[in-house]
Amino acid sequence: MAFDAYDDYEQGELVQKWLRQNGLSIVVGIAIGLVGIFGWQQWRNHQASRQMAAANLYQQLQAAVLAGQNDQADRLTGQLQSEFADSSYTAFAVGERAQREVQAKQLDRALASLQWAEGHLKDAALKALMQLRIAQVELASGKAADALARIDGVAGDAYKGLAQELRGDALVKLNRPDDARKAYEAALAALGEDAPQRGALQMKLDDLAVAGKQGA
Amino acid sequence: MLQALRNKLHGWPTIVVLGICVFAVAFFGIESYFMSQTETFVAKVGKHEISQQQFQDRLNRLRRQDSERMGAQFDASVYEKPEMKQRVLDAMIDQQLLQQANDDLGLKVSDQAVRDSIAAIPAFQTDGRFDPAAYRAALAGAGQTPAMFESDVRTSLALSLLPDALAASTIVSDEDVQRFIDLQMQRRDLRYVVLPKPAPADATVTDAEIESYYKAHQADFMNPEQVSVKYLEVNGADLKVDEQPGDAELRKRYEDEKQRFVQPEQRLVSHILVNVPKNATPEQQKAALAKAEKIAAQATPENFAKLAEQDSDDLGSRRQGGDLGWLEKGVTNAAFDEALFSLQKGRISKPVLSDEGYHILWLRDVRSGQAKPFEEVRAQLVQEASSGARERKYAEVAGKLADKTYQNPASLEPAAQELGLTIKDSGLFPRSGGSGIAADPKVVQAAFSDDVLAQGNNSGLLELAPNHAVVIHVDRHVPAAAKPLAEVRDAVRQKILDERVAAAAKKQADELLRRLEKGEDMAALAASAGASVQSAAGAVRMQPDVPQPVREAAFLLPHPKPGASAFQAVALQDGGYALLAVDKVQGADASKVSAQQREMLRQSMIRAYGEVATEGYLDALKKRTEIKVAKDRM
Repeated sequence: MAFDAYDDYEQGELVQKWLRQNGLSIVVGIAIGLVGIFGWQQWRNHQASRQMAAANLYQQLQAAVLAGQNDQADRLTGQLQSEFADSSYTAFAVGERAQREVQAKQLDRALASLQWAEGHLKDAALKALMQLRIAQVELASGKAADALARIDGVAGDAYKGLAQELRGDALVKLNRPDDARKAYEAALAALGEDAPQRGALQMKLDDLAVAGKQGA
Repeated sequence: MLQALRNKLHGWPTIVVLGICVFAVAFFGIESYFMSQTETFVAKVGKHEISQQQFQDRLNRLRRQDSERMGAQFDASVYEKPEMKQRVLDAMIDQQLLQQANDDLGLKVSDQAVRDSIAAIPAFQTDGRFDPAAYRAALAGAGQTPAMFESDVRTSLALSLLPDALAASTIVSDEDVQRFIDLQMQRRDLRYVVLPKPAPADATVTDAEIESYYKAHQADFMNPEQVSVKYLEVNGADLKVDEQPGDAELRKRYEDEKQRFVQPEQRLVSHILVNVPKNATPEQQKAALAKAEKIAAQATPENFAKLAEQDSDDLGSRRQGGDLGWLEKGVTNAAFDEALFSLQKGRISKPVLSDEGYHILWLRDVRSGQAKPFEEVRAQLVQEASSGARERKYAEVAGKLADKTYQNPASLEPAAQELGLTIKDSGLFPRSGGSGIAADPKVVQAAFSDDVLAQGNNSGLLELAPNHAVVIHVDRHVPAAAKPLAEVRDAVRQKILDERVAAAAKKQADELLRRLEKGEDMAALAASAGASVQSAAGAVRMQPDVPQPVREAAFLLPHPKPGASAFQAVALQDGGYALLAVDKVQGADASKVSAQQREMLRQSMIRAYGEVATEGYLDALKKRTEIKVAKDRM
């Protein structure tokens, strides 16, 4: 760089000229940066307060369920669905409504609820769980073949204990006891030694015994 | 300015100095890229590290909780085992995964949940209601601010968010419940024959047979490993305490501890309370005083109880006619005390103002304080003094015993001579313990320990009870060995016969089963074997009158085809056999299950399946999160 060519005045001139040419872009750049930072913070705060609001509604919902006020619970679930459709809490609340609907023997509505929850969850593992629950309701409404196809569609080894037991239940309905036995055996192998439903599962398996290999 | 700098930059010294500066600045901090980074975490879950400190804290807390819960049975060594550490760490990793999942899913703990959970803690309650003052006081006592405590509560509540949400949305249909009930309370129609044990095919047992059986089953005829120990015993109760405390000493003791032998004055009192609210206006106060004065004017010993019942605001005592029982000085508040202890017996006081309001007191009786004289408590003092002396003596002897036996680890002799104790012998005992001192598990454990048994050292001082201890030294060690044949000949003969009977019984049962399956009649077969058929229609899994092995086998048999039966030969506990037929299987008797039982069952199924769903979700989290565990730092 040839500093020798300029004296102090000329250097000053050069800097001023450069500033005149680029000043606007610098100011705009800084402004965009600041807006970005503040905007991001605002967005985060907004998200956090929405999450908190959803948490509060869900908490009220739990209190209503505990007190046996199902109408109030359904109303709160509806509010969550319309105001916080993207919150995971809403998916859980809708899943819980499905449980109440199953109890009231409204299986079609339960199915719709579960499909809504499955569609609004983003977490793959939770989606898989909802799929299994949908299969459970399908099985309860007599669509064992659909349920079986759905269970087999759940990827990988997710919830193996639950999935295989459900598979066994579906196969029993489809009158395929040999396959059902294999499914129950797989479920037993996947469950922990101290899982609470081992006894019940063993009974399901024992009940399918065939001559020559009892209890297999 | 730059020009000026440049003008002055001449000559090599300046350049060298500048060069050094540039070099130093350019490489400042670069060493951290080359030095190996030291990792200190015990586990790393995603980006979060669980430090050794956190892990140790958790371990210590669990250890403390266990020790509080189990008291004397607590075994601290459990917490040194790797499996235990692994279990604790696994739990911490699970918790960390759940926290991260909460963040990813945007799940937060609501303020209401935090409030409710704090309000439910008994330590912050007075009379069953949350009390803010008690809350702040308790926190201040623990050195915490409400904000810190609330954040702790929030964190611990956060851990149950997902498990609770998964459990609450678990689906259990009526059909699922019904299927469980049908299995659990399934009914099966059974017939069975308990076959009498047949005679053994050959009742003579030759010596050669006995010998070969004995050789083949040596392990069944073993004497266990045994030891006998010599021991020195020191027992506080047997120690002679020669020094009898003199009268002067006892008297001094009496003077020092006079408080213990004096009963304070007590006064029997009833009262009527006229309540004055905490923040009463002067008018209210005046009205209360007027009322109290009116009552005081009316009150006589005869009508006091009745007045108290009518007018007293003290809910605790008004039913008893205002009776407060015998009071000592200092039990109630100062104003009350002063009035009570200046009153004469049988008199009724003017209204007395305390924090609660105006009291009208009636002093019914006085029990003056009295001191027990020295002579009366002398015996007690002597006993206390000598038991103190006994304890000191015991501590001294036990201490010397521990010292001497430790200094001469190979023998008890020197300690015995020094202390004038006799060496005793325990007799042989196995690892399962014996009688006398060998009944104490501490003694058995010490006797079979490496230090005492293998190295031949004296044990440490073993406390059997307070003021009672022993030191042991192994005297004889008998390794496990086979019992001689002569000793067990009869037992061997019996075993051989039992086996023959069992074989004959099995053969008979198998033969009868074959005939049953061919279609022969069970009753006729039973009669031919000298037995009869028992039947149990609609037996359940827990049917009490059916032998357990038969019951269990019955529920493992396949469902029979309609009109047919499933058969089996079942080995019984006494070596005999039973023949079993299952004729019919049906579901539960619905009338025996109430709607309430169904609902309870459904709830417990929801809990069970919810738990498994949570575990499944954790498994999925573990698969997609990078988890490193540093076992060497655990």
